Amino acid sequence: MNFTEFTGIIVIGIGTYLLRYLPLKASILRSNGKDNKKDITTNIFEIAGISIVASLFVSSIDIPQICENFPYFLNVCISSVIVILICSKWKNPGLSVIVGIISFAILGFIL
Amino acid sequence: MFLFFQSVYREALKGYFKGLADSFPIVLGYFPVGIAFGIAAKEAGFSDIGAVLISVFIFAGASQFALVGMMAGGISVLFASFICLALNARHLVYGPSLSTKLKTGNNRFLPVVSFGLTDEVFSTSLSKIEEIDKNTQMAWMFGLETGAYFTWVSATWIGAFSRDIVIQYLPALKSSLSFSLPALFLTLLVSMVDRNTFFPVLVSALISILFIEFNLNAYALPAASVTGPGVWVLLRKIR
Repeated sequence: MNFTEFTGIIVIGIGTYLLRYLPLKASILRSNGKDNKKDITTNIFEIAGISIVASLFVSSIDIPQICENFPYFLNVCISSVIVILICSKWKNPGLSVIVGIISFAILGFIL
Repeated sequence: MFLFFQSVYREALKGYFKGLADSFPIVLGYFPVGIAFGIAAKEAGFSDIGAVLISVFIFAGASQFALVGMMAGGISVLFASFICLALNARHLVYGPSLSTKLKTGNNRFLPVVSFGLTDEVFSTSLSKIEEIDKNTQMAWMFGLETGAYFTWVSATWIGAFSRDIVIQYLPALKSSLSFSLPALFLTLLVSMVDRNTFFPVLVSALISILFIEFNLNAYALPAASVTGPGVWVLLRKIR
């Protein structure tokens, strides 16, 4: 790694940090000035957060492969249902993720 | 006075270790992806130390993969840095969303905690932070990030240093572990969605799929973050 590459990494690191820190700091300063009552803006940001997680879920799945490969699509669907059931029943994220990975691996061999 | 500080310190430590324990699902998700990044960085021509340094300083999965891809493709460092920062611009919406759940009056550790606010840490925090005592929220987040950060860095190191061995055995393992991040995000979604938010979140997920289908992956997340609240406001007006 040469000096230019190292500088680039540091610049990206600092830039990413500022993109995380500044909006959070500004939002906390803004919310500190308000009472604790949930207003419409708070609700909007909450739903935006959940929508972002939904989008991250969609982005983490290989969508093109789902469209082309039916066994893969079936595997994702069944494993997702298993994750949802385990999570709803036991409310344990670690357990849901482990069971999800194991079921995906086993179904990968079967389907 | 001493007893007061001792009790505050003990509470913070308890919060930290709870956060560390709660990072377990993130650890499961990061481990295979971190190894894959270490291998990708080595294949792009970075040294072992170089690959690890990228994870140490940037700690943002998608932009790290983009960076090594662009560097391998001969794109200039300046342009690659610009693209990576544009990719990370999605983090701009994390702060306002997370701040609605943070009740802490102590923001001294905010500059430290902000460093580790990745997609997965953000999602986990959003789903669990309300259950955490307001005095230990920052310590809990720090614990959560410690688990995520050290897994990411050490997995990168494992990927970079044992590339040849991993390449030999990874294909079978890789396909099985490729579901770790979807499983994590799905788990978090289940714990956050209720009757009130189900439909707006479903629409935002469908919008994301559309964007990805049309190769507009970079816009999927911002579009979802606008669509979900938009649908919610619309439904609220209709009702």
